[in-house]
Amino acid sequence: MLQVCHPTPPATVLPGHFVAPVRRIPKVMNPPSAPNPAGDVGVLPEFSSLSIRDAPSPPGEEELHIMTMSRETAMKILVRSVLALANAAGEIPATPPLSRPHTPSGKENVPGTRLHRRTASRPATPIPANRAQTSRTDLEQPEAHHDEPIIDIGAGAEPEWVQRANMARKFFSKSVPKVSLEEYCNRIQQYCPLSTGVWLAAGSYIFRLSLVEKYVPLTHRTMHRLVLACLTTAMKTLEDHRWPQKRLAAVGGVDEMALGRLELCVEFLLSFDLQFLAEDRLKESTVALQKAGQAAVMTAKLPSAFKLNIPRTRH
Amino acid sequence: MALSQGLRDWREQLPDRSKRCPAKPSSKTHPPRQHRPIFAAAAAAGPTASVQTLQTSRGRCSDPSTSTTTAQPTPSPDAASAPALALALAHAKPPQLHIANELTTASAILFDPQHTSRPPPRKLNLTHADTLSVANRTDSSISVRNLGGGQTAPFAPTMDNRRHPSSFQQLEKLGEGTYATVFKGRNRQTGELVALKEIHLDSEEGTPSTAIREISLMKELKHENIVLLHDVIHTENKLMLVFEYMDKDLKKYMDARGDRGALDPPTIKSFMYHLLRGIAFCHENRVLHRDLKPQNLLINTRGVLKLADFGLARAFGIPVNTFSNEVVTLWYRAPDVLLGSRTYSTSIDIWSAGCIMAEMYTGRPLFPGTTNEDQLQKIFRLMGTPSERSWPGISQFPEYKANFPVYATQDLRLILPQIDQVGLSLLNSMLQLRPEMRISASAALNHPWFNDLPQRQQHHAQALATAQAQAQQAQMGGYQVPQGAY
Repeated sequence: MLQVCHPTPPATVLPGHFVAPVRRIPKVMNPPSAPNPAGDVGVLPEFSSLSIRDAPSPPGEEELHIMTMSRETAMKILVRSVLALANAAGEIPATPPLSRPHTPSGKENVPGTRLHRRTASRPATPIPANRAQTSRTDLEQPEAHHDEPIIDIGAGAEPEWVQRANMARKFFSKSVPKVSLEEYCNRIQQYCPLSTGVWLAAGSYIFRLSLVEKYVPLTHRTMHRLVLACLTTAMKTLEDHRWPQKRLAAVGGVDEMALGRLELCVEFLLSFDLQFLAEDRLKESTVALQKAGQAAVMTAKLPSAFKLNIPRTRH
Repeated sequence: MALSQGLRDWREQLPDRSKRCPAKPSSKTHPPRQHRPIFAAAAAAGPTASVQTLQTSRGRCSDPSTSTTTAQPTPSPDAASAPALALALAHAKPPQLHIANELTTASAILFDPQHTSRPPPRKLNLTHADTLSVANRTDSSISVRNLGGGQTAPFAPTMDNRRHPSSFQQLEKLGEGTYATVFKGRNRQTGELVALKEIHLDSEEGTPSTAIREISLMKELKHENIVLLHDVIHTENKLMLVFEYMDKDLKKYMDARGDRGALDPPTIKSFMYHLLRGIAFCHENRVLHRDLKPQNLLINTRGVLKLADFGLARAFGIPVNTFSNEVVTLWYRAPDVLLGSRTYSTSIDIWSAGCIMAEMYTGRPLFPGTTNEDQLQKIFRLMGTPSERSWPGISQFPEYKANFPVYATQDLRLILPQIDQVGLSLLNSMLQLRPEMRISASAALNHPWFNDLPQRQQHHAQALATAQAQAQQAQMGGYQVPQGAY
């Protein structure tokens, strides 16, 4: 029988250290369990108190180096562009709720009779006790309840665009949230710091959802939920650390279940096209978002508070 | 030679396999001819069948031996005349019911009138052998159907409105992982076998990051040595990942057919070539797998090895936080990661590949450590204890200890007497302690050990032909052939 341990004591072994009893290897060996990358305390990002106002302004296309950019700058790019685009879009109402087609028979569809939980979630990255406290954000009531049905491909009746419109409903608030987008992102970064890559990736997701594919209109009523859902998805896609879903939901001002649904909407609306494997893809989409934001500033309507004072001339 | 050897031995095992899975119709009780028209008809009726049928027929027909030994349905060219026949057969007697009638219950087996006055348990009276399809179980499901690289399957309403365009019949359970359950399944339209990975969604984690990684990465990594992801379906509180069906994982393959788990050298060479091709493709696309082990390498009936389980994988070259140190299953974890490194790169997958190569020769894990320290010690015992002289900068690692027991380097041949000299040199270059000294996957593929492998000669010839064709095109005045046209 072969032994994996070395057979003879090597020449340089110190006598005191050589305690190698040749162990019998049991016949059936189950390998150790799969590791959980999020469990490593060392991957928790630093908390910083840098506010978005104090962050260096994002540079233009030529000097944009995403590998060296600070995370607050990335956040600033996102906030500025999204805000400019939402200003330009004005008020777009949500599509009316889908009337639910007849439910095919089957007990499993009745809420409350869920099957037993088969697996437990993996634990999120542990957070030091002095940082465990968060404070809740108040976001306005959502237009659609999170249990409102999204999709009915199974029933085969609804064309895909109707289902997409229905997913888009999830992002609408009933009225414009009082917390500004800048303040909202600041709070997220204060309690759940996210890296440059995550902020830029979220920007890229929003760009594709709202501008390229035009699934979700980017307005003052949708932008908060869009940012939160895209950040959550980007974090899980790109990072090894993971903020607990509960904490993210509380800081973002939504229900835990609702965050799960929003996240799924982002994933499916983007067909899980969430990676940036090609070398310049992340940079390209960041530049595109910035340009869209700049273009939106030019075309935005003047706010109603703006009044022209034309000096009167007397004849 | 390696591949054909593998296949022959493989076929010898097949009857044994059908005994173990009674739910599957075996070729003895039902001749395959009876089944064929039914599935061919389904394939012809299915709206999304076109692409998938092509794949199936290409895969199956290329190897006639497998399609005769297993009773798999083969979409036949005479599909047009099939529906009437299928209908007639279905009315006469559905062949699945034979199996259904043989099903019994635990109480029926245990029933003994000597010990009880109760009436005997009733016979199971099954009317149909179908299990629930994904589509029938819930009225709320999303599916990402265009995973095939930008080609969207057109959405066409089916005759039966309740059926999802690609719905799957759920068959027996194949395995249970830490966060998912895997079932065997069958595509209702094409009859193609698939693996269904069921991931439970809860509010605690939302969509698990492992699932997001696996879907988003495997969607982009299309390669013949990486398991193919067909579809993702969301139902009420589950995600169902639909993968191509693979027969066994490498661990089970070794246990089933190896000599005490050890494989023969030609098979090892072929598997190593497939493994390294899969790894090289990941690395070219800037993806680290981070959990290579025999359980995550799957083998199909044609003896092709493919990488699976990308739940811990991640892309590199993106401005994110530090990498986690808790990656790769302990036995296959590289020494730099064990020493606490968070700046590792592609070389950690190569270390795992080296461990797997040795394991295929012996049938035993090379370094079966129990803890982080024990793992390091097992590695040092064989590979020698590194020092600042042999590995400059080693003392800077968080887990480095000045009092590591000092071992001399052993000759790997002592524990792997079956390995040849050239193979040993490849193994040695993969099992380098210093990450920067480890061979890259693409360099390993060019190692002389693979010179006599027919597949590599084929790949080389293909690459040469492609290059020649391109050069010719360039000469003809820059006429561009669309990529992937061949």
